[in-house]
Amino acid sequence: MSKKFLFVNENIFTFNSGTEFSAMNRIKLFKKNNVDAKIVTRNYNPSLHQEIQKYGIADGDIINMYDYFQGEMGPKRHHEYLRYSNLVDKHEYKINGVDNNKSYIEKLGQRVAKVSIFPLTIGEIGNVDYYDNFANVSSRDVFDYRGFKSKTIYMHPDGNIGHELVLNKDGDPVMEITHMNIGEQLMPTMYKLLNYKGKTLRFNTEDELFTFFLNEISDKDTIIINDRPSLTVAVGEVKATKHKYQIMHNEHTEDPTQAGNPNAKLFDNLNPLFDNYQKSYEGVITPTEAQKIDLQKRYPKMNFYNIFDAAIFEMHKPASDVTNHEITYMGRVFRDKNVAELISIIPAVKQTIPDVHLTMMGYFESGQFKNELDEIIKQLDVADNVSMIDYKTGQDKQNILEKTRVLVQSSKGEGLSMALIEGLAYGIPEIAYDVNYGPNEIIDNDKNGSLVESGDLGRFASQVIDILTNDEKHKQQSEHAIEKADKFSADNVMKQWNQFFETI
Amino acid sequence: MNFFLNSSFNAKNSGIEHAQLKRAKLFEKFGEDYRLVFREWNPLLHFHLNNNGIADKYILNIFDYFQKATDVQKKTIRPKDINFGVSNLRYEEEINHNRVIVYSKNQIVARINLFDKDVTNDHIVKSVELFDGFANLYRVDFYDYRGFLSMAQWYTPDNKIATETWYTPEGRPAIEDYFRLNAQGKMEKSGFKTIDENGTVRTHNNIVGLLQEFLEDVNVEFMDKDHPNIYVMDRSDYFEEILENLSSPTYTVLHLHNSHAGDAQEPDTSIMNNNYEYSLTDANRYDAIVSATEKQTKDVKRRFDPAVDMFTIPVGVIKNEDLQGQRIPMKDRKKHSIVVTARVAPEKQINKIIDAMGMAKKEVPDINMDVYGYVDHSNDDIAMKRINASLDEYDLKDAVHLHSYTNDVTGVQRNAQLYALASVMEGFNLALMEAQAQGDVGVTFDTNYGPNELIVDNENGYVVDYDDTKALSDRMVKLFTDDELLQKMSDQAYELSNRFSEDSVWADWKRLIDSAKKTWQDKLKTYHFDIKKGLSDMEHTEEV
Repeated sequence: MSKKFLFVNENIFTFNSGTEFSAMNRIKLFKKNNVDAKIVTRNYNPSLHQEIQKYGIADGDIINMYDYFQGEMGPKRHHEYLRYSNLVDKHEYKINGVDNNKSYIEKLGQRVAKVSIFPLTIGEIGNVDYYDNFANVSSRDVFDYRGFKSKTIYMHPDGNIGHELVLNKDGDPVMEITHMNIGEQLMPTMYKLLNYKGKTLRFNTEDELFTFFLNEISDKDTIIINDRPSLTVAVGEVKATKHKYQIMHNEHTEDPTQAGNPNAKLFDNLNPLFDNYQKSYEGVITPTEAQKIDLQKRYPKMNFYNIFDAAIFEMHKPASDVTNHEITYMGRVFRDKNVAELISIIPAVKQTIPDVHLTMMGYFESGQFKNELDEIIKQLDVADNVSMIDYKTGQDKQNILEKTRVLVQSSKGEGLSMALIEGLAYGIPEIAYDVNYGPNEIIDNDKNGSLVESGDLGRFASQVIDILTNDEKHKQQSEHAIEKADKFSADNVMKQWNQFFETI
Repeated sequence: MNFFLNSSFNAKNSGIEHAQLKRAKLFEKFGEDYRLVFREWNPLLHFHLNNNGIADKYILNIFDYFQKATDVQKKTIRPKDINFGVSNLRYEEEINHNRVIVYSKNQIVARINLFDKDVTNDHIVKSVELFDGFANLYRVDFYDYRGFLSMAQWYTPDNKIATETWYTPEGRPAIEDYFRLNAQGKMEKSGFKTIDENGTVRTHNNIVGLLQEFLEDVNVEFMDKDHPNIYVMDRSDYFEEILENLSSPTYTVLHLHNSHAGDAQEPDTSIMNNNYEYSLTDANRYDAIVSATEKQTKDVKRRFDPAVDMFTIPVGVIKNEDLQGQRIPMKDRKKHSIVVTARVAPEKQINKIIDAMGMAKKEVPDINMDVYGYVDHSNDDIAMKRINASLDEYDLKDAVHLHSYTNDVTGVQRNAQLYALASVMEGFNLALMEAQAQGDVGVTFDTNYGPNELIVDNENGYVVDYDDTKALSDRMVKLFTDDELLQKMSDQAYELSNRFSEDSVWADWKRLIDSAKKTWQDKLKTYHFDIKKGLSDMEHTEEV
């Protein structure tokens, strides 16, 4: 195949969801199989090339739109140390290092700027806030992780962002972003490319610019796979190639129990795909066969393909001999994941197993939601039995999973559940609600875990108690989990892709 | 390098700018390099200076300097050259407003304003008001007449300027300033920032900081052991505070262009002229003071006893070809004629000249006068009201002709016999000097400074007591009733003009420059350039 794949996403964030993990998992799978593919991201992100390192993604595996227009696609080659930077005229200004995270630039006792050190670096420049006479932040320089000034943000007098100049490495503006009112709301109202291939080009929205960008980096042999429903329109408008596919990472109906009902209400963000942009996509890829069948029934004119949205590359130290009482939830700590219900089973489990311990590993929907969960934990008096440890990656995450006796999930709807697949790679027995879609693809009931009817808290709790107390059962289920992992092995997922390739 | 410091230069200028132009030409003639330094941003600066024969290489504007735009290949930018990044454009010309409106479909994209008709009839872009796709005016661009986007004003949603950015001709931001609410809730300019080509950022509280950065840079850039950096403060505001504290050596000259005293007739005691209050108070922190007349030099010395050198250097220069031109005898000129080439302003007291004419009319019935100059309507048109009152009183309406302006000053001066002055105060009076070079006989009050020195009493005209209109009238009668005397004094007017010959004025400047050269060596002995070595990163090695 001489085709090249682009996996479209908004960003690789500091905290990522299954959507980004799936794309990163896929890029590794394609790379392993020598299929030309890149992740394409839309958002401006000065930390991008730092973030991807955490996930083993190479600089060459990703194309960011702003990087592209800045002409800076490569890896980090330079460290812009504040103390050695041209930014500061040290004949006239002093650098007052406050702590490891910030320094002030001062002249004759006046603080003229604050430099925030780039996170996780030693003394490299992150943001620089310049103060005016009245101590307002008048403008802000944003440095890229790769050691150059990447953007200057100019504030409106009220402190909101006024306009932004995106710069290339030489300090020349390559793009202007204007923030003005739409109605009464301050919004970005213009993205203007400056001197792009000798031309000036104005766009009203970032997505219009993104479409232009995708056209620029695509040709008729390009296959675009969109991971983000929020980008369905931007990708749908691309004309350079007709090979465009949307990947589903979630159930498609607001009520997951009604997913098989062709008249059930769709999630709003899917409306463009199944409405005006049906014809702009050659097909839709679903992570489960069940979802494919439901959608095919609902949209008979569209093409659907079933490919797992996560693959297992390597097996970890199996959990078969874990004898503790650690249960783990891994995933976004969000309302839609129904995580409060997990906490609510703990008192029942605690009666039998006083030292049961639930670790919730993932980033929070909001500070407010975290407070709500803290309140629930307090009310249920399980503060010693529940830890919320935020987002973990790499070895930190591995350390938790290797000591997990059982992986739990109480969401009411899923696309496939990457967390449960990841659990298989550690041979962890799993307990989840049997919801659309995914858990029943991963868990064979009573073999490598338990599928519980959605909402049956009592049953969920008893299954947890059972697996925590029954070492023999745990050992058997762990072994089955290891066997089950093969279904999602890199080889097997690649087979699904290869079949898909033949249809293009 | 010789730097002549000023604020700006426009189509209409005052005597200071004229003096600078004459000095510039003189320096060029004698092969001495110079820079005319201007501190105000002005998209037409080069246009106006070029029109006055000043080449770009002699012009040093501080905004140009930071914008890397001192020497720009000139281009003509017309409305269709502006790139909006939007397709399907439609241009609608609004001739009355001298502008072009640009639409895409039915949405406004921009308003392009053209340079005024008094600058050019060609359609050259002066400014562009830019609208986003939601019809917000988000920015106004201003173009330099030399053909590049010079400055952009970025707007807030409620239509106020938030940020101004000055660009290099290539489009890199070089200077920025900001507008913010101050503690009183008033929108004010709240600071400046410069960004140089190496990415070094410097911040300033106001324009003075910007000016200081400029002078610090320029002074080092032009540092030369054989040629002192001489700064002539023709307009001293802002410069006066910086130059007394610059970190590298300078030779700074305070150039008086007007009376140092608020009442020029009371030079020893009256309150100081506000324009010179700071610089004269600090005069001993500079290196020299220049005044245009011996009389003022004497007065300044007497009043302030400055320790620094004082030089008298006329601000007027008469070109050799003018000094050697054909002399027009009085009999070949308009009979009994007086000429005035000056602004019609209250402090010129032209009404008193008319009063003197009125008193002379009995003996010289055909006495007549032509006045050339813009009318200053300030103060409720007081100047014209006084003139009209005098014309009525002496019934001189037919004898006095008020003309708006003439491009042929020399021509009208050559055709007149007398040049009359009744000013309250003067700095030099270039017009009188030029009239004398055309053989005009001068009559004046004893006005400080200039008239009473340009006119040497009883030689090339008469100086009467200050405000003695009757005496002024008597001298007019005397001259207009004695042809021989009139001709003799006209001959002297020609002769004494040699005081302002190029050679003579250059000799005065040369004295100043030589004096600067002497002190320069001493100044350099104690000055050292900034450390450059050992400051760069030697700890880290970069992987490439």
